[in-house]
Amino acid sequence: MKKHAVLVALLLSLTALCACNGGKTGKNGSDSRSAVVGITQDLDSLDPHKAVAAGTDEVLFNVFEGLVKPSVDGTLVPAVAEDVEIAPDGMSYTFTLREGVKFHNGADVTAEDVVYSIKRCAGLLSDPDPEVKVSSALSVISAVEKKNAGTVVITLKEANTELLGFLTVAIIPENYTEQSTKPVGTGPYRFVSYEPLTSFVVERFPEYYGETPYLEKVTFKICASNDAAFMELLAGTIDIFPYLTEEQASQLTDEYKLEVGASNLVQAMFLNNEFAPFTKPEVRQALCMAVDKQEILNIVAGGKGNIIGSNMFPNFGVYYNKDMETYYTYQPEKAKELLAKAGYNESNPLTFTMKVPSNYDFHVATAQVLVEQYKKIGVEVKLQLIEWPTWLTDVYRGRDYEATIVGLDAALAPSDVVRRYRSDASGNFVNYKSDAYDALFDKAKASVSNEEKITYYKQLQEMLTKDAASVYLQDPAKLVAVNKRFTGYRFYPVYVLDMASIRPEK
Amino acid sequence: MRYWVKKTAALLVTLLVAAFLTFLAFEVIPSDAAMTKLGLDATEEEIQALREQLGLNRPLPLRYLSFLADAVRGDFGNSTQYGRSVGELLGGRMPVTLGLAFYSFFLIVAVSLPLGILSARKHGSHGNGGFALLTQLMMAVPPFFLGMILTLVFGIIFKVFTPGAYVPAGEDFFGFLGFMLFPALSVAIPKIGMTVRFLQNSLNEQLTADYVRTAKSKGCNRRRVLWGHVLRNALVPVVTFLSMVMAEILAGSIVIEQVFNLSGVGRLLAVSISHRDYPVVRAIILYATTVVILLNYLSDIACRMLDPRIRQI
Repeated sequence: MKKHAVLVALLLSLTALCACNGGKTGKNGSDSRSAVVGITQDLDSLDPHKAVAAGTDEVLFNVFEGLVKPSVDGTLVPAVAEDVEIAPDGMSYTFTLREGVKFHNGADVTAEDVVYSIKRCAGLLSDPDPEVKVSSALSVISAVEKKNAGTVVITLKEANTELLGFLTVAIIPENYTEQSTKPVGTGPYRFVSYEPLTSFVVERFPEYYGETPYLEKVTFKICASNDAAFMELLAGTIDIFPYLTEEQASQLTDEYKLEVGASNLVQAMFLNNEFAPFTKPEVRQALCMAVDKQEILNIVAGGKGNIIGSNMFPNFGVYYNKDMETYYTYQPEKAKELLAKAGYNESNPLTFTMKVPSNYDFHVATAQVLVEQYKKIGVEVKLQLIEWPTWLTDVYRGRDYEATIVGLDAALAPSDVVRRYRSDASGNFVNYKSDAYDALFDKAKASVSNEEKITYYKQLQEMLTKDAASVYLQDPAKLVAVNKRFTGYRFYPVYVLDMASIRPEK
Repeated sequence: MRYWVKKTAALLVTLLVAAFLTFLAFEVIPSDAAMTKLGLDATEEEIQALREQLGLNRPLPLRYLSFLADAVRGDFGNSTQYGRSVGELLGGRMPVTLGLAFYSFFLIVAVSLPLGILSARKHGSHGNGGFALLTQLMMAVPPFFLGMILTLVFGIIFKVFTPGAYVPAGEDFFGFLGFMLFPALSVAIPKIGMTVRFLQNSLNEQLTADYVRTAKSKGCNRRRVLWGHVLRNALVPVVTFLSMVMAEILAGSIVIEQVFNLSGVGRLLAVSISHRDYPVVRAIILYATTVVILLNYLSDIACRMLDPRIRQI
């Protein structure tokens, strides 16, 4: 009996110990000008030119700026540059730099810094760092030159009027070697600290040329998993969490409000057009018709999200071909007929394997619904979950797959979304080959008239849909939890987490 | 003396083999650091250039030997993912994992030894069925589930602790103890169930041995039989078991670290594998190997102290 007592006393004292502590480690006071944002992916680099993960760009958006930067409505607004002049033939861009822009280390931004930064991203430095991710879209640049202290001229190898969308690449100080450990940029927030797997902390940059942000300090807390992050949200240790699942959104407490926007992704079941059964267009079309996209949205996202019909998402505005959304409607009978025509029936069913990256729960859930829907028309789909690096090697680079589900993002240029379907594009992992498409794509990219561009890009999307290059599903909804003491969370047509726009709720 | 020489040699050989197997494993699994680092848009040339810089293109034996040469000097290279030295990276994660390990080990020992002894003495009496059910339940609950339930009940509903509010022990020791109680419990509870079972069986086995009858017949009471004779013998297998438990939690509780958002060695290992961050993975595997072997030694020593018969072997 005595031992029982000892045990109970021990446990009680331990509980008491942390009970007293519970009160002490409280939440941020409601008047404090700081916020904790939960993110679920560690940063892959602090050097903006070395970071490739969308989750990193999203955070670094607060610290770095390019010559121009994306705005909420999808246009590009001046940042480090004050003005840009695109030559009428689309062969050169002349930037006038904004005066008085300072780096976080106190130095003025010079034309040399701009030239260095652009060259670094375009792979034009004489001594390149192999870790720098060279932007393939910037490979059309032939020269970057300083014209005078306030002007930089970019000359191209071929006409391109959409380059501006890629010139959001960060401007960084020339030959600064500590970018990966103590990043220095020009954005509204400057770097304070970074601890792997723990947090990335930034503070307001007092000498920022633009509007002063309200929040003085922002902590991006790196959470181990979506579930762990949600627990912390419920407990109040996180103020903003941008990756809610539908289920979590329905469990939000009163302290938070739900903001719904678009993810700006093309989620599709991508088909390897060279896999024998998929070489026949009618098979691919049948697969498009057998999908009940609304049901997918209902099951995986509570009906939220936007159904798409081609390789583009609605936030591309005028370039987006909305008619494609309804090009294939749910017609399982017709799908069966098409399959029968291609030689697939009950005795010889169409079977294929779908490789899905296991770290994306959302894609996995979508895949499971698809498998069931295809079963209804007698198509057997084998689901294979693979690790992300394996997906990169086998599916994306090796093109060794039959079908896969993933979401693709894009820079703010319509050409960036659809260029992967050009026959020779390195990102053409669906192996789509069409001479008509290639010709039209080149025309679209070089066109200097916006009306023409709009027509061409809409036609390109139509081609992809008619040829059923893949089974396009949706632009998933982005569900963001924001503590009610804040307002002003803004959605962008690109993947960013803008903390400068957050204001207190009055 | 010869014993120690043999043991140390065994440690070195095991480390060499473990390091080599890690190299082999990364040869076999798809993708590498250069590819994961450069992402979707990279060209083949860019990937090759980075491979060259990271030294991934050198032949396997050469890489292995140069790794060994550096490792002997205590240099485990730089993390490809974080760009910092592996030592620094691991050092930063160590306090979390060590704290969790010792805390949960303390709980395991403090709870399961008294419980095991208590239950063995009651063997056959009423209430043991319920007790068996309890230990069974403790063993059956998966740690991640337990972690989530504890967070939900004590963190969200009763607000005994704040999920995610980890503080390093150096900053606020009691805050650390308070927060870590729950991850430590999640690690400890299943192990407590096992240890209690283990101890109970071991005690019951000993209690039916001949020497117990002898002791009883020479007039020892139940208490003296248990504390003076049986316990010492019964503890030998339990100590071996506990050393395995300790090794397991020292190597990082990947699952519990995920659930409670602790940035310990286990989480670092999981992240490093998915980024193909070889230098980090290798260092963690070598660390875990060393821990297992060292704890093996310790349990050897403990058993020798408990049972002189082992010393002769």
